[in-house]
Amino acid sequence: MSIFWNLVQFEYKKALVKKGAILVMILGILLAGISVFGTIIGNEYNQDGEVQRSNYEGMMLDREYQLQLSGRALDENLFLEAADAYAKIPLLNTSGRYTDTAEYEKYARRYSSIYSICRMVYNASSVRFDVEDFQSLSEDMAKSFYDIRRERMEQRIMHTGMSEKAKADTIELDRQLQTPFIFEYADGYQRFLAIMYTTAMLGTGVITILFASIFSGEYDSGADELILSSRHGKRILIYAKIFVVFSFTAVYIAFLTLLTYTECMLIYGAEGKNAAIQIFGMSFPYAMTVGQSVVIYCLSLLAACFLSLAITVFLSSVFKTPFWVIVVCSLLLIAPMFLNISEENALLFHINCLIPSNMMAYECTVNLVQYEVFGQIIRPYVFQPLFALILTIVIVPFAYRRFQRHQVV
Amino acid sequence: MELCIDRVSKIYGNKIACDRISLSLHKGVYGLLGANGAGKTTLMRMMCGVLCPTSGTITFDGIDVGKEEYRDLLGYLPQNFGYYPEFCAMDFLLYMAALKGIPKVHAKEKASELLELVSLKNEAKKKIRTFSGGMKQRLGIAQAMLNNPKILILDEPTAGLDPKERIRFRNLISSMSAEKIILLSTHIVSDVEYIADKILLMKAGQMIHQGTLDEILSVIKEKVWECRVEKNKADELSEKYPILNFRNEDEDIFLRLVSEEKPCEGANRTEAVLEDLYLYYFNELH
Amino acid sequence: MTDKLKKEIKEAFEIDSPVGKKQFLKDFRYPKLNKTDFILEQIFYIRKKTWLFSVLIMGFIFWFLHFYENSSTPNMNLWIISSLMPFLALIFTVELSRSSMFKMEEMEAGCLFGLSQIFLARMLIMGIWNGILLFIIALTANLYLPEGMIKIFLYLLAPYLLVNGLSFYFINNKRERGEIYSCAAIAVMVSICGMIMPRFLKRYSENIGTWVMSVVWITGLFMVLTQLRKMHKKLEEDRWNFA
Repeated sequence: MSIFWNLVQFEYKKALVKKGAILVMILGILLAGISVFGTIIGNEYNQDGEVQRSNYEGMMLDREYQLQLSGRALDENLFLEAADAYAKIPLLNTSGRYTDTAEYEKYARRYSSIYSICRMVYNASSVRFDVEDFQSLSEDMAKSFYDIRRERMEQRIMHTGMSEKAKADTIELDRQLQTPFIFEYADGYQRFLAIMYTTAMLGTGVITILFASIFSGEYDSGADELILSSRHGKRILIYAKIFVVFSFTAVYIAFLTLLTYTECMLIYGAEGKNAAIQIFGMSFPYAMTVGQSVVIYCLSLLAACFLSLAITVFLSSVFKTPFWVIVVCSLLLIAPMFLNISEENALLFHINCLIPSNMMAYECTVNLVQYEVFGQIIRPYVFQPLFALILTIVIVPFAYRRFQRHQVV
Repeated sequence: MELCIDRVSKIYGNKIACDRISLSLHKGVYGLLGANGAGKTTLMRMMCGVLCPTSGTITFDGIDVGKEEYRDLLGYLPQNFGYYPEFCAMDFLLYMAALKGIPKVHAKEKASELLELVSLKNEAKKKIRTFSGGMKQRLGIAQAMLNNPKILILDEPTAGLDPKERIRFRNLISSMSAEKIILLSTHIVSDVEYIADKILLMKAGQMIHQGTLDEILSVIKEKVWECRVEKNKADELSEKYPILNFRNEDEDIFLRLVSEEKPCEGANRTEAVLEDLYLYYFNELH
Repeated sequence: MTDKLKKEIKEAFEIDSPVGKKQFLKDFRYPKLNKTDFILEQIFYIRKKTWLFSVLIMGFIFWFLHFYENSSTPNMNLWIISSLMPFLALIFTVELSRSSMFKMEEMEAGCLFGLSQIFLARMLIMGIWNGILLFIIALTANLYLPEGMIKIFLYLLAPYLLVNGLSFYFINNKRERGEIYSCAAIAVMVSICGMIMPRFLKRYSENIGTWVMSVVWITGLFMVLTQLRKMHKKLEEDRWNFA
């Protein structure tokens, strides 16, 4: 056992005790750290182009307004109250953005989140819903918010490529949601979920760079001959290498997650843990709180990172230089971001969501398209991390064998 | 103690790198001589378990080459071994010691001892990338010795070393040769001549000759001649006999060649050395 | 004189066998290439996969511009194209440092057209080729995107120059063989930063993004010029000095 830990120590030293490696790690942490501040740098401007306040002050103001509304039911009373406030904005007389007007600042700003929520439901590809429509929101329309939501959900579910059984199950799941939803200020968690996608991508990119040479570096440097001819070079050393990759991944990603979480909670506030996730997206059919979804998302994200690193480790055992490992892995990380697969093709959509870089997106974790395996319906937030972990466990032995059986020619 | 190589072959597509080589090695130093591309490195890699033979087996006292127990008894110095530039000499040895299963405490002791043996004690904390070729080779031999191997395989260990380093290296090997099987490949004939107990000659993937120095020299014993002739005669003799040495002198050409009978007037028989045999076997004329 | 007669004379005429043919051919001084011919010949020594990967990147960008829907985030599509430029820069750097990658420096240094000339030739060829690619990409992007040409050029060149500048810095200052690995790492980091940058910049990203790109452009250009000069100078000196 002590040999194993001794080798783990050496592998950590080989991978991390280098100027370049330390620089990359620190860069990753810095970028992840400052990315939280992205939305609060700069200023807000009024109609005349003058600085009204900083974005940070604007965020604090919005927070105050939303905290005042927290705890209220998202029902017709609140919607109509918000609509009345918006009705005071003189849109016809405004040449610029309505958000730059004094009336917006004075009356409507406090209800901006309510407007966003309404827009999520009322706005559709066939029916546009803008500020003008919100200003003239009728009582009937306000009362039928949840009916419209249900209708839109059912339409969307029916248009997916799921089986009839899965569709029925999802519709039933959605119907069981308790309405009206209660509005809560949860910007901290919302920012966290949005930023974690980019943070995870960055973290995975950093770890890929650090460990692309875990096997290929041995081939490239010519040390493979020495290693493979030594006693523990074909077994314990490979275990040590694999252990190092995944232990570092877990620690680094956990650190970045904790850093981002702490920053978001400190800057935007830690309220809203018990809010329903529907306040982030009305198309989520799951009866889950924000806090629960964050935990599930973090675990899913870690599994996605593990899968990404498993692919890196495998490619490292295949390619003869770390250069190609980095290039291919980074393309595998970046390219899927360009894919835009419709829910109508369930299989392709699922495959798209199972790609590690897409799996890191919150929307994929709580998407309404269910997985079906041998007639069993499995939620995406269960299936995806499990799939990632299973695939990781499947891929890693291939890397092990590849390196173990490497022929020095 | 017996290292048994039984009909080992390595074939790449339609190229035969090693062709049914069978050897039985016991204690002592073996010199593996051959020209470039003879298959020496391929054979050695198979003996170290880093390359699988296409056919045949390699065992040491019954232990197969693929087993961990075999590698535990093995020390290997490759021809162009890689290293980690950020490691210092001590780090490198400690790392290799860990790979060889040597506990940390003993590893430190052994590493210090070996660094002293190979005269790198003062460079223990210096980065390997600052080492000269000779120093790297010495570090290489030190790592090969970490686990007190019973089988020591050295692939062209003196290539690129200056004469002083080569002699030092030869003396080092000789001092370590007790109770070990040492296989040393080279095409620097003098290295083998001075330290090998037995010589193995390899050509085009095959073992063409093996034995002690006297045994293998018997092939060209009393067949080596020296003479001084005119240029035209020299050209004529070059066409007819394997030439070991061709040197322009003031008016004549000095020739050293192999011939069953006296090749020309004034030719003197001379004692054969290993280099003559090497050139005799690996000369394109033969 | 008829053709038949010419032919018969040729057959009847016995030519003297050449004297000293071997020696003549051995001593014959063939005309050497001039600089232009040398540079033109170097085009054929640029690896095929270099051309292929460059074209693939360009092809991917065309596909993206044509088929990808415009994002609601300002400049998003431009950022995405911009984040692919590091890979084009990587191809340039790899080709330029081929001599050191394959340990051919010493051998090339001892030739008529020495290492520095080879380096300059490669730089010229790859510089022109990449210039053409960037121009075509910019023109195509201008057709599909609302941003102006100057802005497009800024967004394309900034990461390209930055990656090249940093890569050359690493190549100049590192003695180890892993320099090309560092270049790949730089390209990946810059690319990922380019992909994620617009996602966390708020509605004022249009100005902030342009400012960022301008700074990157200036830094990149400065680094490229200084490091290339240093690289060229180094090629003419003895690099293999452990003192």
